[in-house]
Amino acid sequence: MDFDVVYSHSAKSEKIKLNINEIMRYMGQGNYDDRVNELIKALLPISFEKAMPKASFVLKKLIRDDDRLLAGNVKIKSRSLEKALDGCDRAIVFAMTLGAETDRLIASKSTESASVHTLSAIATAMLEEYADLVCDELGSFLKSQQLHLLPRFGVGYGDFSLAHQADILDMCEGYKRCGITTTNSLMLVPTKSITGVMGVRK
Amino acid sequence: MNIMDIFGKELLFFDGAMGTILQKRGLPIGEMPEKWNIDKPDEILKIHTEYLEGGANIICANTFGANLLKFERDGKYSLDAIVKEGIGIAKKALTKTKCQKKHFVALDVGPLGKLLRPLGDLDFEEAVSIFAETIALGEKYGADLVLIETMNDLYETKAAVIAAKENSHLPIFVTNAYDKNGKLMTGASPEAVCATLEGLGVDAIGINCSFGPKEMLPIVKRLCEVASVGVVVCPNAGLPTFKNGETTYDTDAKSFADIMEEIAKCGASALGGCCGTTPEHINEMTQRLSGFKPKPITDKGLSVIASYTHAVEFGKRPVIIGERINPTGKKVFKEALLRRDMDYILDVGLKQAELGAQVLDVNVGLPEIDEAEMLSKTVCALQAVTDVPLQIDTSDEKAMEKALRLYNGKAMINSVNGKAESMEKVFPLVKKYGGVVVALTLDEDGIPDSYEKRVEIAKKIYAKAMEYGIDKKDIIVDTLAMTISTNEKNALIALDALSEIHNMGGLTSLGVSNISFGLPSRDFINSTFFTMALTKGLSAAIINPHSAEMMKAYNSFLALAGYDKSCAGYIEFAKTVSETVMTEPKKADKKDEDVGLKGAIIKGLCDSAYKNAKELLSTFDAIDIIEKEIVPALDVVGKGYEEKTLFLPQLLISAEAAKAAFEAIREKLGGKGATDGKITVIAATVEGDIHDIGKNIVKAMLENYGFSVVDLGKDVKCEKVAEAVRETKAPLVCLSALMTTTVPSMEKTVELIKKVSPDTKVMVGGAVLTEDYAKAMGADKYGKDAMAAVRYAEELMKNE
Repeated sequence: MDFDVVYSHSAKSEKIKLNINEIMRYMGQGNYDDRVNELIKALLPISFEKAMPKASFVLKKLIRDDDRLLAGNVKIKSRSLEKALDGCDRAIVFAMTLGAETDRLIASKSTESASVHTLSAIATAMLEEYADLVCDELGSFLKSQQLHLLPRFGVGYGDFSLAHQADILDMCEGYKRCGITTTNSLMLVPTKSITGVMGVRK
Repeated sequence: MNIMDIFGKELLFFDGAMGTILQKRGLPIGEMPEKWNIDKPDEILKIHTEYLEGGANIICANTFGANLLKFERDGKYSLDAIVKEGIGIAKKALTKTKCQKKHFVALDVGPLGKLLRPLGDLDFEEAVSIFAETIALGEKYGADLVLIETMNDLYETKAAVIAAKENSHLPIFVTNAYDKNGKLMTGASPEAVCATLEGLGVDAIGINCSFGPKEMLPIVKRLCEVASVGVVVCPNAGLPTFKNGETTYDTDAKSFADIMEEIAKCGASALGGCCGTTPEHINEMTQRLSGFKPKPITDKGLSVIASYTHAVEFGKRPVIIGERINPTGKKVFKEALLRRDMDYILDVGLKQAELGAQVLDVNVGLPEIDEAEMLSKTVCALQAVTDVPLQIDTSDEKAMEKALRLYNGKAMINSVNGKAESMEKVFPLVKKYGGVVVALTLDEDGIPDSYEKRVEIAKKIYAKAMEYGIDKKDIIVDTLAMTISTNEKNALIALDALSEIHNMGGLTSLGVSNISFGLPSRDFINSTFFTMALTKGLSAAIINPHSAEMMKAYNSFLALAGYDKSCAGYIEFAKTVSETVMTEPKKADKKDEDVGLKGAIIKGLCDSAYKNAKELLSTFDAIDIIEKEIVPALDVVGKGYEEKTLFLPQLLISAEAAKAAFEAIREKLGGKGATDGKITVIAATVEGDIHDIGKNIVKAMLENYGFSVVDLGKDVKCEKVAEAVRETKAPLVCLSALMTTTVPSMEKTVELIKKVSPDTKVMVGGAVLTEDYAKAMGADKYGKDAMAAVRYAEELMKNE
């Protein structure tokens, strides 16, 4: 994997394996309930149909300058990110999404609050599983090059300020490759999207 | 020379990538390439020259990202300077290169990098004005055409095209970026894109970026099959992907040329390249296709409308238009409209879609309301929740224009008629925004009582439409179903006129249920008339999809007329019909338990709750049912939720069942709820925040407990909240915010509410908030969940 080259990734949603218990957890459902279980099962097919998982990422050299991390032209001051990248001289900057049709699907049920809540939870679970799938593939690839991939650290985690959202997206061409944008208040759109950094260690 | 003089007659070649080449030549990732128009113009000139020498006809100025979201009005890198220099460098390249080919400079207009509402937070008109500035500059500085490219959203594409139409006279070429599933990122099919853009009057459509030419081929074929304008194709080559643990690169110059030759044979009128392509790719392609004669551009004669996802074609299978979004003769709907109850209106639309309506008629005309404002609001709200195409139904041309402008797709328009005044008002709108317009066969002399005269009016309308450049394919003639209760010949007149127009090659529609006005058991007359009309060639019908009789007639016709392969559709349909009213199969409860209304709500059984409520209403007052059954049921569930024996999903499922019971009550009371004495609550997600699931849950719970909720939506400015407080004098406002970045908006909103109405209480909630935050910003209450909102509202009500 070359430095400063942006790679695209996509997957068919059927490749993503979901655990209903995980979905229930995202829904805030503290115990098993038949009706909730049925509602999830009823909405899973359409959720899979509409999801278009995509990612883009770029490998960047890291330089530490005083208390800031530098990657390309971007300077980040964050103790928690620094900790997450401890021992790394490079990192993968990424953006991932399920796409705009997932947002539309959730909106299409706006008059049914139970369905909206369920679809949102399914999508969150799907996004996390897709992110794990991408990280697994990247991890295996890097391992073959005697490199170790650290867990992902999202923009907004700890003191990794949301103000870096646009920089992170630009670095991995998140808009061009995945259609991810930010609102004026730095929310990601489509809403089922994540951005962040993963350290790479020798 | 105008490019349109030769477009379609000879194969034209666009240039290739700019951005990826600049990156190879030192432009850092994330830096704006347009700045090199000022800082390194020679590099840009060099690249343009290489493409021209490689055989390109059309050079795209380095203005892809040149817009006011990225550049300022003044300064070294002002928008004006970027566009001026960008076009200037391209023109310089044309003069410098001594080549015999005809050359043109395109103003290159790329996406703004922001999603439009309702998905994002960029307003449609704001997008139009941003594009307008760039495009006006492009024409000023001598561009030969506008190329709107790499658009992955149909709505943003429309905004750019409207900006181009309103701010320049240049030819407009549009190429979109598709996903591997063959749609735009926001869901539009090639057919929907084609219908919308041709409706807007663009000069060429196409595809660029996305992926390599091989993956593009199926989409190119689809575009060439439906397009009546030229098709432009500019694929990627050489963008790295990561698949199955390997990095792979796309197409080299020779493979690129091989597939571009195939694409040319499909019918493309212009070819070029996008990301990863180089002058070598373009040169290989132009050499291969030198002298190639493109297929002529032909009118496919398709009559289509589109939503933001798909197109609906007329003239093949008859199309059903759901009639229920209309206050005429519907007391409940009228009350909802006066209350501005958008949820109710959306529900009416969504239910029709579930029952098989392929188009939704949208009529919100009432003398008591601002129709232009309400119609556009309803259109925007509907297209946020459903992708069924809409029929804009109004006689107010201001309302029609506003709605057509904001519509995401190519709308159906109801209607125009044979009066000169009507045609003069409506046809310019159809021409500007695109649309398939229903044409009523009446004129200044009224409604003719013979079929021959109605056909004459139709011909008059066709002829007048042609003067505006509107083809017959975009007109659907309504031969007017007048009630047989006033003249027993009315059905035959309408049908004879319909038959004649069908035989002339025209499209037809009918407002079917008008035929039985004034008669009992109207469904029997309606469905028989419907069948008669279908056999005469009816293209579209405005009907009630809830009517089992009508849907039986429709589905039976499809099967009998050979539209339903293996009668599969009919067999599926037959499972759903056993009564006089259509049921929505997904909503039916699996267990038909008789648990009473209270039990149905606790168990979350929607169908059972509705039926039980209806039954009880025959004996008891609504207020008794609410107080003795519904509220106690909700209290059981609410208590369980607070004690953590039940959880949010169960609360919501029960809330849905309670909502169904309230629906039965609303129907019985003719639109009024039983909320007298209950306070009004305003709910909103604050400015900058586009998440509304939490707010909607609070709203659902409050409504279930009988509170009247004014839902202002999401991303709501503080002034709008304050205005709503002033207007409604609501004693409680519930505000929601999900992110720390939007907490300042919440603070500002709280402050303003207290200024305009010090007695109004404010409750705040959302993932990012805490009790301390709430106190610090001056809110009266922190709402940790939906039940907290209900309890607080009840407490306030006691004190009122």
